[in-house]
Amino acid sequence: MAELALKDIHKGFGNHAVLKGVSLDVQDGEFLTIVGPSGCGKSTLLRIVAGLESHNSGQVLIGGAAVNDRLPGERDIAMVFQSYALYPHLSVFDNIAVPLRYRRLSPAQRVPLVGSWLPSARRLERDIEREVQAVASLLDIGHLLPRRPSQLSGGQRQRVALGRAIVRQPSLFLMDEPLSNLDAKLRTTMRAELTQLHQRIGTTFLYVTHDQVEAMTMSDRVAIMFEGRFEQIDTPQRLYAEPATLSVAEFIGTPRINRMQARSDGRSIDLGNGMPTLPVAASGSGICHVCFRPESAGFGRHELTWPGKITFIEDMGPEIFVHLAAQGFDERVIVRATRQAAAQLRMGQETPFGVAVSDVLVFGPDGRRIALHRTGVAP
Amino acid sequence: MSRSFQRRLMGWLLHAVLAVAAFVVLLPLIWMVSTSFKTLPEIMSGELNLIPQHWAALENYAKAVGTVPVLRFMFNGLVVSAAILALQLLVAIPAAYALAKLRWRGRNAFLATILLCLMVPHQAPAIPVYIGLHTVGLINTYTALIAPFAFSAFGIFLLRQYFMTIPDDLIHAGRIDGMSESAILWRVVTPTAAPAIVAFAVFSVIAHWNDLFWPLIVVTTPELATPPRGIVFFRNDEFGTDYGAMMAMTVIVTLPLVLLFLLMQRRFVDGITMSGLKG
Repeated sequence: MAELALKDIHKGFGNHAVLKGVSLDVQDGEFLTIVGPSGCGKSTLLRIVAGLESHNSGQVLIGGAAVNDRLPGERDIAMVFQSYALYPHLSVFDNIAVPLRYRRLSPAQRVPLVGSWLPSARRLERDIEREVQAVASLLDIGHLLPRRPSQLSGGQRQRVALGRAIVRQPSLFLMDEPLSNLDAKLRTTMRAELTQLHQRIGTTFLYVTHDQVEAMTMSDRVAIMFEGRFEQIDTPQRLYAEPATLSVAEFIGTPRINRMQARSDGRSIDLGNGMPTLPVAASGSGICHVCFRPESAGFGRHELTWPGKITFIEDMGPEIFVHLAAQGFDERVIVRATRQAAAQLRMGQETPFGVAVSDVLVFGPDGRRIALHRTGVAP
Repeated sequence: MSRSFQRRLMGWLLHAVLAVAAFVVLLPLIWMVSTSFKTLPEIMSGELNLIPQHWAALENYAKAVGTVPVLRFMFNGLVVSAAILALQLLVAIPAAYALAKLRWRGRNAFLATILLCLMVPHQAPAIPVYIGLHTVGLINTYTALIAPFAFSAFGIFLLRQYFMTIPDDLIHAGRIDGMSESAILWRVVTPTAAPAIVAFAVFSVIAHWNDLFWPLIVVTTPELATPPRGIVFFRNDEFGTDYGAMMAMTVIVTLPLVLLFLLMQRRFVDGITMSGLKG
């Protein structure tokens, strides 16, 4: 077990900068997820940690030791790949045994057939077999051990890949979108299983995904990456409630956050249309973004109220999202409605909707979050 | 005419065309087998009989095996083909891996050179290679038969094309699991590429077993003759014009290849489609 530290990692391909100075501290035993849109550099970063990819500058420290010059096999890490990357010609047993064999057996002992007759090879093989069996029963794949990867379903392959990673008890797990190739239902179960696995073995996890649900449900902390930089590193709850930037606020949350533009003079924000002004702590003057989440909003009169016209009612079963056209907003406004409230709503109907000032998130012209002065909202 | 009848008619027509084509291709082989069963007078008689009227199969085959060291030729053929294949793989597998999966300066130039080699017929450098072998005194040795073919541009290119399709993650997994590059190459990439390697092996063995051109140049003693070279040796010396025995010998020599092809038919076709090359 070990902590991981990244210090100012830079990486570019030719003229194109992929990682622009990335720093990160992952604590011992923590489950940290890097999430971001595809092409933001998160997988590249994971490969740099693994030693599979070189970087231009910066340091990778695992357990306090710089590993820049160590080969992937010498970094005491294990990795689960999106494609699982199981050895197609080996049985499930041999797939899981590979990391142990290549560390414990000498090259001579690994020679097929002959190797097992060398001194101590048999004892080592017995140990390996015991450990593989233990991991297989932990993951409930004991009955699959003699099979080839091609004879397994996606979910089973996923477990074998996990087994190959945990069998060696590395100090750090790297996971590169391990659930993306599974169907939606299996993904949900595997999310829960991975979380349990993490709690059980207590090793540091560095997990990369583009799926915010995975990030939000599994992690101790989430690092959000855009265009080769970390935008915010925080607990899932704080990312959702207190996004540091507009990009984070828009990336996290389904459906997306509602957003309107408003002018700030540096002291207060004018929402126009006879709406109260919002006094702000400090900001540059210019165009700000006033945002609120669909579930914070409601129909009828609120502290802040806008007129709107219903364009679409999206019934998801447990919850209903009402889409409205409203002046000043960048896109359609989405408001979560109770089943009771939704029963009275019709397509094309005009209805006021609004939100409490405390539920509003304001982002300045530079996209950074601005605090509101709670007192002094004009009625 | 009903639809199904039309379709059946099309099927029959198609098969008729294919049968004619197959017959044209197979005729020499069928004639070879037929001739190997005939007596010399019947061969020379000018009558065209597919089924011999006077059977001389036993005599012909006995003569082929008895008076001519045909087994020796086949042994030579086996040694030469196997050694060539082994060396070709020993060179081609690492080279193809480096071209497909490693990043290094000059890789594209190297690949271009390989493609260039692919376009040079092996007859073109025959004279310089012969002179070279003669200078070091290797004419009339196994080395002369084997060494010039150790490097196969076709093999490198075919395997490179296949290795390109092996996911990088598999190689990364090997690195993380503590394998050395050579372990990844021989224990992961090579078994994964088995279909391509088998396809190439079939190509290579057929080409070198059948090769007459090169053995004709570097071998002048029957002890080292590969099967086709052996047939040439004994065409005049032993048989004179005994075509029956000669055809019997040809049948014996061709048989292993036919068996190999039947066993590996699928792989052979795979090999052609895989490399995107025709033959």
